[in-house]
Amino acid sequence: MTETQIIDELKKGNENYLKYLYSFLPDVRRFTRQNNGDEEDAKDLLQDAIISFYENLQAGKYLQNNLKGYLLTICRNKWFDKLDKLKRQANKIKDIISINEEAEEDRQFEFRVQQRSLSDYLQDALNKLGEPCKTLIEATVYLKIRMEQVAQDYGYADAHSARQQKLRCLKRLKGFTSYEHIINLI
Amino acid sequence: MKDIDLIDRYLSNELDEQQQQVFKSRYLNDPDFKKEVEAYQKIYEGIEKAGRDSLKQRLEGYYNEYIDEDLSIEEDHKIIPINKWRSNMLVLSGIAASVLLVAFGIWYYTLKEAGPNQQIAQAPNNTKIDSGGKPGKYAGTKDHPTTTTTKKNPTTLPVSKGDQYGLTEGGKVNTVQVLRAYREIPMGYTFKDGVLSIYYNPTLGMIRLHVFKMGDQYNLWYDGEVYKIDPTTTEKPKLLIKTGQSEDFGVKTTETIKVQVEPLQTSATPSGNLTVHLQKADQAQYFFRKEKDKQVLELRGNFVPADSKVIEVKIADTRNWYLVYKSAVYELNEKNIDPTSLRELSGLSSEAARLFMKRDPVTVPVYARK
Repeated sequence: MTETQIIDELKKGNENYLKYLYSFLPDVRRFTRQNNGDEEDAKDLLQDAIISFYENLQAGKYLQNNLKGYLLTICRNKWFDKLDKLKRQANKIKDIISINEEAEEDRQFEFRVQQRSLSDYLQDALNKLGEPCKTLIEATVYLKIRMEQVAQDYGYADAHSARQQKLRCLKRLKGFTSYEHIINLI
Repeated sequence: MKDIDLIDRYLSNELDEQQQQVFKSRYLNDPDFKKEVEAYQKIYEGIEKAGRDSLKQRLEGYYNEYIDEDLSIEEDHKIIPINKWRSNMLVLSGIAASVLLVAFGIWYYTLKEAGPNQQIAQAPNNTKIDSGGKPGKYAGTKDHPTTTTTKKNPTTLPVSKGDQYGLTEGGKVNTVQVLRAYREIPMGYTFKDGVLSIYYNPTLGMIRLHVFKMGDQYNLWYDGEVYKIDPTTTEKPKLLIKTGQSEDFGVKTTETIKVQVEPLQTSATPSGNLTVHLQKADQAQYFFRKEKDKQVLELRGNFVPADSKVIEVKIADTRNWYLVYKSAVYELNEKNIDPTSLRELSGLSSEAARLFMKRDPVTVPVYARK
């Protein structure tokens, strides 16, 4: 399996080829080990990088030809961002006033987890909507795959009819949600 | 432009500057429109979050497959062993490690030969490959004797002026063989002409399987459990009966034996639970419908009826349908009552697809235990 083959398959919609990208895990592990992280950090980092890559690829924004370098760069940037954040938090905790703020943030967090998330709410609505709408909406709204491609992959006559179907599905999806409810979800 | 069309273009960043101005002024002056935009904004945000969350969950699965399958990526022409310690171990520890890797190689190779996508599996470059049999043989040639009731004759339905569902131009309606297969935890086996065939567990891992002898008695060791093999079980598969538990399967002898892991369709029996109507069409689509309490699968596509099988797989109380066409496997969801595109399952990532893959027989050493 080569990088080119993997990218071709992913573009065709064979999402399961993403699993090959985990073969870069040893490289990410080496990186986190050298930078105050552990194995679990490496797995999480690579997972986030794979998601960014996959979203960019489907939206036509992946224009590189070195997949490994690309993923490792994302991992590196994300990791240093995280370390910065941790450092800032550590400085904050030194400050007594900030400790109260932290406590306030914790309470807010508790409130948040009790409530259902926007993600769960939409997942339920999408499940109610059923196929083929669910897949079509995921492909077009989440992955932002081009309509021409969608038409080809899902058997619509052309981009226009795929788009009409997408809009019909979105209208139906909205029917499964309530404005008063959804507007307050995060 | 309809509102939904306009809102979608706005949220997808597709409006030009002038259109955006028009959009904004309407947003500020029309409270109903504003509410509509806000709702869709949340819906789009939610779809992205839900999409990302479920991709995350699926990635956990892909990660586990990576762990199980020891995948690697070649950098176009050069094979790079990703798990470096594993190849180092090979150099250092010699024979024991080679045996392990050869076994991996065989497994990869059989998968490669049997898989629908012939380029997927790649054996590590430092392993020897011994397929132990002719590659590229598919299960269709060796079906269970009770599965020969295929109706191959095309019948023309009275409504065939055109496809009443608008999926084809019309044409002959063919029926397709429907089979039922069980996937049971106790495996079945036959033992004939030095070949041990294993049934009901097509995804069995050869690494965890050994054959050993105690005196003249052949036994199967699988994952720490011992099963006795009755040498008279030559035709109809018998269930393997566990006779004990042991980590010990003895020492290797020079004797070898062929082990054949059978795909599910080999032990499948005809099923009357479904009628399949197949019509030729450019696009592969399907849907389920009810006709007088009987379930009908309407199948469209470029399939040769004789090479198509629809298989019902029962695992405990759940029932799944699959279309097996030559070496390709497609999942059929009976909840789909509207025309739905057929999607091929990849044999490397989908366990379901592996249930139907013909694997080549593997030659394994026989161990001896006192």
